Amino acid sequence: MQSSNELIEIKDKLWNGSINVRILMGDDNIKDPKEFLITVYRNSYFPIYFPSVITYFQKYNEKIKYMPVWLEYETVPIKWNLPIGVLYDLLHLSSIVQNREDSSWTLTLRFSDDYPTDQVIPFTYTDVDNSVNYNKSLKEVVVNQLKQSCFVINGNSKPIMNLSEKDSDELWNSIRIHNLKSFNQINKKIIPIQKKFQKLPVKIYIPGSATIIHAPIYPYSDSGEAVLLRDILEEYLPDLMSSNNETLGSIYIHGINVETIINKDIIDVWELFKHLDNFLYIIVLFSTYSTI
Amino acid sequence: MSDDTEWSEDILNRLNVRDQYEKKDSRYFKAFSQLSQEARTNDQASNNDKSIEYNKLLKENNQLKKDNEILTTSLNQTTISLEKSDLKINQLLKSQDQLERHNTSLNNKIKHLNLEIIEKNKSVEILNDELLLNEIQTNVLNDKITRLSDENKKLVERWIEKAKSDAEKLNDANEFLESVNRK
Repeated sequence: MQSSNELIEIKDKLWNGSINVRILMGDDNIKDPKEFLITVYRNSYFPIYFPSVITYFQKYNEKIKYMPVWLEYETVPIKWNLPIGVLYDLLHLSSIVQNREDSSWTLTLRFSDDYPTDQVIPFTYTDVDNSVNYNKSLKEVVVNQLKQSCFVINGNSKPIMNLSEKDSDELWNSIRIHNLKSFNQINKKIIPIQKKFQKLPVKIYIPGSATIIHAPIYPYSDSGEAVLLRDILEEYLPDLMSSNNETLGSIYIHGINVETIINKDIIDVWELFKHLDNFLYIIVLFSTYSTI
Repeated sequence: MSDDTEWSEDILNRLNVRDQYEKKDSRYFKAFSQLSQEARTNDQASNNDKSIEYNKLLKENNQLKKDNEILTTSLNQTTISLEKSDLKINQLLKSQDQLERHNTSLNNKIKHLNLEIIEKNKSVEILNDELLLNEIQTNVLNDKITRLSDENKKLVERWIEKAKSDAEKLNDANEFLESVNRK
């Protein structure tokens, strides 16, 4: 096992990784576009930040408070159900590896009756004052994702279903306020100890492609050997490996190129790099190379 | 081991490069957040025709939110340190476990060696007995040899005596024959 201090340092960096987002108010009625600057955690979700963004913009247009908003990147609506870091890597990484001058991510905040329900999950809950309740929808989606991953890991959803109401609330709150201690405490109840995992929840995304590989991965082969990250990529993306066993693309997790750990056990990679919903998100950039 | 250290070092370096790049302008973004928060509080205070106490509460609430954020950050740092300590404790426990197992195995080895010593002592005792027996037998045999040597010596002496008398007799006979022939 690698040096414990380095491992904790890595976990620290993964938990506290953040990006700077410049949000423009997409309102055709305003000539001078207003902008809001915010630092968001990679390991978080956009709707958590929506209330503060809306509070800022509502002085320019009161309607924004009562209409569900969505973010757009180069006219593409952003799926808020994915972690922010994954969205950044998926949509923005390929452009920053070519031009590394501006590190911040510029997005447009839209609000209209024309909510893109075919691309983005709609927000259905409202508060007593008729304003949109983003947290409730996000909680529902994140909990469902946790249930999915729990089912894949344990073979059933019992561990998460058996959580007390207090624990469930604490788990959600820890995600919302980015509290590592509470999150770890409750998440330990969902993930079995001593690596007795049935399967591992892994999602592979290819930027610029509609392909999403959502695969439950067996951590060990039939012969009992540990499955490597390379094995997974070779199985699901055979075009990624050249005939001389070199990768033809770049593999990113949490915004870093992870080719150095391609021959590591997938179980170790998953344990270290899993997101808040216990999924491991891998981004594969074809024909793009970077030193990040 | 060195390979593991190498890859964790590499990942850490890449994360540092990532953070250096992605957090480059964070201080401006944080400053914007703080200012917008302040402005919002001031707006709320001026828009609402409320009492001074209400404005005070708004400011206090704002301050508490900030404090809460700082506390969460500090809690996260503490959790990270706690994880470090936990990991260290686990490693120490593992090492203690290994040492205890090694100790048990060495104790077992000592027990086996003690048993072996006892067995060997018994063998030495048997060998000593055998040696004593052999010494006694040697002594008996030596006595026998001395006796037989004496007997042999006597027999040789007797044989020499006999050979001497036979030779004298033969000489006498030869002398007689020579005297007969001369005559």
